[in-house]
Amino acid sequence: MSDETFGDQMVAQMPYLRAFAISLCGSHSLADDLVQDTLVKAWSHADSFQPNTNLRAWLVTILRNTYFSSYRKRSREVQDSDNLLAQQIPVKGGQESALTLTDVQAALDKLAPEHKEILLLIGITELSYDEAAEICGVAIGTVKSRLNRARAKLAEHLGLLTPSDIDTDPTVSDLAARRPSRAV
Amino acid sequence: MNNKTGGREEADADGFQDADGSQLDGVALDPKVQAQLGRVFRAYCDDLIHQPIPDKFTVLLAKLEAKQREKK
Repeated sequence: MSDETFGDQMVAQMPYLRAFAISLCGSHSLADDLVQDTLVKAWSHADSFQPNTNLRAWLVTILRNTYFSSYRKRSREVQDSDNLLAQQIPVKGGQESALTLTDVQAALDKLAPEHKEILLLIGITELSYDEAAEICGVAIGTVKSRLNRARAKLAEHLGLLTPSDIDTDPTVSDLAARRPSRAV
Repeated sequence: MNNKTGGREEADADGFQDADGSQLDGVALDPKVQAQLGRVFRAYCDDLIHQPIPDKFTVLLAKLEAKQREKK
């Protein structure tokens, strides 16, 4: 694979970059603009990429910084106006779950930006805690605590638990009895 | 139970598989909730990652690459 060009390597990262952008922006059209900006910037700064380091982490850094500097405000304006996840299929989260991917997006959008970001960095771009810490400019301990808070909040927004579950030690095994019933 | 420092250092790239850090900040999810959340979130991530990439991006990358070659 030594004849693989920089462009080839970038193509291989596209699914992760675009997924990250869609989830951040909550809109396909805005996400595609963001990805395009990211690719152009990456090329113009290609010589700042250290060979043998993680290309995905480098690209994600550019995309993330571009998002926060010029897309975040716009994304709040266009959200809901285009159909983010075309198919309203239920996620394969188990028979008990009637949650759709759109429900997950809506729950993510309710999170604090730093909480949403950390979930996406770990879950979508599949970067390590170390890489995520570097990208966010925080200590690894902060990454972990944000991740835990983000998970708890996401579970709450998805209706997987009652708010009291967050503050109390959930040793209660009979969780089903405490779970709010979902209309859908 | 109050194991604040015993967390594993490696990332759980698969979603929410680790139970290690859940005591941090006093935020603890029931393992069942955590597992369910992990499945739901993983499905969401996988759906996004597997969405087809529009041709315009491969075209753009090819153009950028061609431009670069011209410069050299």
